This record gives sequence, C-alpha cells and structure tokens, in this order.
Amino acid sequence: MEDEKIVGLYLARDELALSATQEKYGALLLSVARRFLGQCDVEECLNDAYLAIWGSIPPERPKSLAAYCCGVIRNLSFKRLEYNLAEKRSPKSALPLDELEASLSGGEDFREYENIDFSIAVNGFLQSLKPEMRVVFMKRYYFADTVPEISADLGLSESKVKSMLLRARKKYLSFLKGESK
Amino acid sequence: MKNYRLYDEIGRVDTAFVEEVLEYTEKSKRRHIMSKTVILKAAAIAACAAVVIGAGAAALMRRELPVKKEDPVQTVEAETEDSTVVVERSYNERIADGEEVKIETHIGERIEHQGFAFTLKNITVSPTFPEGITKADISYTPTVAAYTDGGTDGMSYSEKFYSYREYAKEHGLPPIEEDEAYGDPEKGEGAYTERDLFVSDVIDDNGMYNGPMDVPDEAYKWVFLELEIENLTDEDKLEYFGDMQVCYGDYITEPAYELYDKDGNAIVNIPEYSQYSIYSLVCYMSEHTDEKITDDRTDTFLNVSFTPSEKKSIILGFCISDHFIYGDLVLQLHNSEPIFYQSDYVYLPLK
Repeated sequence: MEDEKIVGLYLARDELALSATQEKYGALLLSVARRFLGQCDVEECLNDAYLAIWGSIPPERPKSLAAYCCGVIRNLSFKRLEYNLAEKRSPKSALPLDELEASLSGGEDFREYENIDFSIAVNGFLQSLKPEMRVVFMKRYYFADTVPEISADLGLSESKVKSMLLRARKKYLSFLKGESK
Repeated sequence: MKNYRLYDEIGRVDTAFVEEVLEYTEKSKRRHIMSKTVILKAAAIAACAAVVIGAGAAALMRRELPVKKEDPVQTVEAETEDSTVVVERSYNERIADGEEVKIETHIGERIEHQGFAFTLKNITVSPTFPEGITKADISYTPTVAAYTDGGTDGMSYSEKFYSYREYAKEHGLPPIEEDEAYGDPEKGEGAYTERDLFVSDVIDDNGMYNGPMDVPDEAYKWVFLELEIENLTDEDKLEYFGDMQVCYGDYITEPAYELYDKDGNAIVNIPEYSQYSIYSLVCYMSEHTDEKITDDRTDTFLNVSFTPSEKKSIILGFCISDHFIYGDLVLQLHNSEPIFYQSDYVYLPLK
C-alpha cells in the first residue's frame, strides 16, 4: 500500500493503518530498534512506536511515512537505552554515543554549548554537509549503523567511512563553536 | 549519568534528512549492483583496449548530462570508430561530482561525449616533479585529532602502533617516532594524533602494513595524460578535484601490478602487497598561464582548479607513490585486467 493511503487510514482513524504500517515498515523499524537495544525491549519499543504513530497522525501528516516512523522508533529506542544506561540495566552501550560526544567536547559535557538551540543547529549543520557525508553521518549517529554496515550500504571503503566520520565530527564541533559565539 | 543531549538532538532532525538517508542507501545498493555489471563489461572491453581513461574529463567539464533526476541508474554505450565508450551514469548530482563516469579510449582517438570532444594525445610517466610543483604542494600535514577506534576490532592502538613499527622495521619503511605519535595522556596531552589514525587504519586486522605517512621524493612518480579538448571557452572550468577526500588506508591488495609505456614496455613493477596509488594529484595545463592550484586542507586534501580559457591542450598530471592512496580519484595500474574498485576511481592500463 502506498504511503499516502496509509496516512489516509491514520487520518480516518482506521486501524488498518497500523497493520499496513507494520507490513510495510515493520522490518525496517525493528532493525532500527535493534541498533539501539539489541534484542532487549525491542518488541515493547516497537509497540510503543506504533502507539505513538497512531497517536500523532493526525495532527501530523508526514510527507515520508518511512522517515517519520524511523524517527519515532529511533527516539523511543534511544530513550529506552538512555534509561537502561542510567540505571545500569545495560552492561554496555553498543552505540557510538561516547565516540560522538567525546570527539565533540573533548570528553566534557555540553555545558559550553548551553546557549545553542540544538534543534536549529543540528539541522543547519546537516544542511552544510555534502550529501554523501551527511548520509554517512546520519547513518552512524542517527541510525547507529556500524562502520562496516555503512561501508557495505554505500559502497565505500571502511577507511573512507571512518575518515568521513572523523571529518564530520570535526566539522560538527567547529559548527557548534561557531553557533555558541 | 552522561549527557547524551546532542545525540538525543540528532534524533530530532528534520525528517527530510532521514528520508534522504533511506533513499540514498537504496540508490547506493542499486547502483552497486549495476556497477558490478558495468565493471564486468568494461573489464572485458579493456582487456583488449589500448588505453582506458577512467572518469574524469567528461564529468569534469561540469556539463549537465541529460539524465532526469528520477531516472534509475543507466548504462550508456556508444560505439566509436575503434573503441567503445562506456559511461555509467546515475543522477545528475552524482555526475556533477565527477563520479560514476568511466570512459574508455585509445591514444589518438577523438571522443565525443555529452557536448564536448577530446583526444588523448599521449601518456607519459615521469619520476620527477613537474616544474612549479613541489612536494610541499602535495604533502599532508598531520594534525591533532581525537579519534579512537582501538579495541573495536580486537586490537588496541598501541598494538596497531607497534604492529606498524615492527612491520616498518622489517620492511625498511619509514619509522614513526613514538613521541610523535603519542603525547602524554597523563598530562592530558593529545594521546593520539591523526598520524595514529592513519597508522591505525593502515594496519589491518592481520597487522598488514598499508602505508606510511612519509614518502621519499624518489617514491613519487607522475603520470601525465595529455588531452586535447576542443572548443574550450572561458566558461569551461576544469575542476576535477573538488571533492577529494583523504582516503586513509584505502589500499589494493591485488598482487603485482605493472605499468606499461605506450610501446608495451613495463616501466614499473609493483610488488605484491604494495600499493601503487595516487598520493595526490595535480592538474595543470600545458601552458601554465592560467594555472591555479589551491590547497584547501580544511576540507579536502588538495583542491585543484583552473580555467582553461581558450587553451585546447591540457595535461592531467597525477602524482603517485608506492604506498598511498589519497583522494577519491585513484589511478590504478595493472597489467592485464583493469581493476575497478569504485566508480569514482580512474584506471589506466597503460599498454
């Protein structure tokens, strides 16, 4: 079923929307959730995501249902992971969290960037990147893909992906410093 | 608890970026499948071809190709008198980046392609730097970088570092001084430099060496492609290297390449597990009046651009060394079959 029709079902409050979403994007959403949570809490998170999507459309009318659903599941999974990490329920993080945060702030937290509106800054930063680097950056830090996975997906060598990520992180730091002035 | 605010914020980016990732990934996968088909075809053709020029010139001219953005990846073939032009093309923006285009031609053959024509006049190889170009133009300056991936593949930085040291020692390669690679972590000094990153990347999981940072002058060699391009105007800007990125550790593990001159004599033999790759590349004109070389190390390793300005003959000069690949454009030399790694690489079976 086309996205437009599925969104139409949501807008009409037809529960077929959920099964259609599950059928079309269930595997994708599951894979995103697994990036963050492994096997732990995935099903629960997935159900929460469907509920959140059901509850948010309407009023939302996403242009890309896939991207919208990815956003929902990604953020729910991340919140769950953060919760697990905070309570030490998870022995280790499989995510590049430390990699990103540490490289941006030298290991400190982000207090020095307190005055930044991150929602604007992040979008601005992404907009400033070339498409390929933006996609690599997003795959790593939004979808939590591993370097080998990015390499395989985009047909780039692993070393090139690493190099691009390094450069992207440097740019990110530079961008944030510029924004914080 | 650590503050993952930034990571959290990334999750709230405009969904257009997420959509882009999904689409881009899908296209890349499709393109990858298509590339394999084209590569096989190109390899078969090139096996009997005199010269293959990868890439570049067509896309470099920054002319829009008549490919609709919605079009899927396409392969276009056009027969010329004595050779075949194989052009793989996908989307305009990719082609505009100088990617996804391969052209095969022969010395002396006039190629017409997408609104311009060129003839490959000659290919020469030189062990010396071209006039006006110094090593400084192509040298890379290591900078401090906080980057670690130690442990992800079972090897720590120090293990990799010493793997390299041992390997370099065994093979007579330039050493890396320990105090150069390491600051004093206890004092909060940069424990890792970008050189470490490089070292890390050039040592694979088997401890295989993949290239030192420093290349002696004598290791550089230059390949010059002399192209005669017709009807250049002031508006034609040859800007090939705009998207060059340092490809740390990209390497070719295929054994034993040879570079042949136009008479079929082997000029360079490349031993197994060595890499004969572009270290950097410099593009300049046979008449230097409009030459402009810029070196933008903030983003790319080396950007070179110039305006041909009514010149009809240009020379593309590629600096290559035994141990490096820098840049998306890679000149790959071989003896029998061309080896295509990525569509934005350039391959020259010089025979």
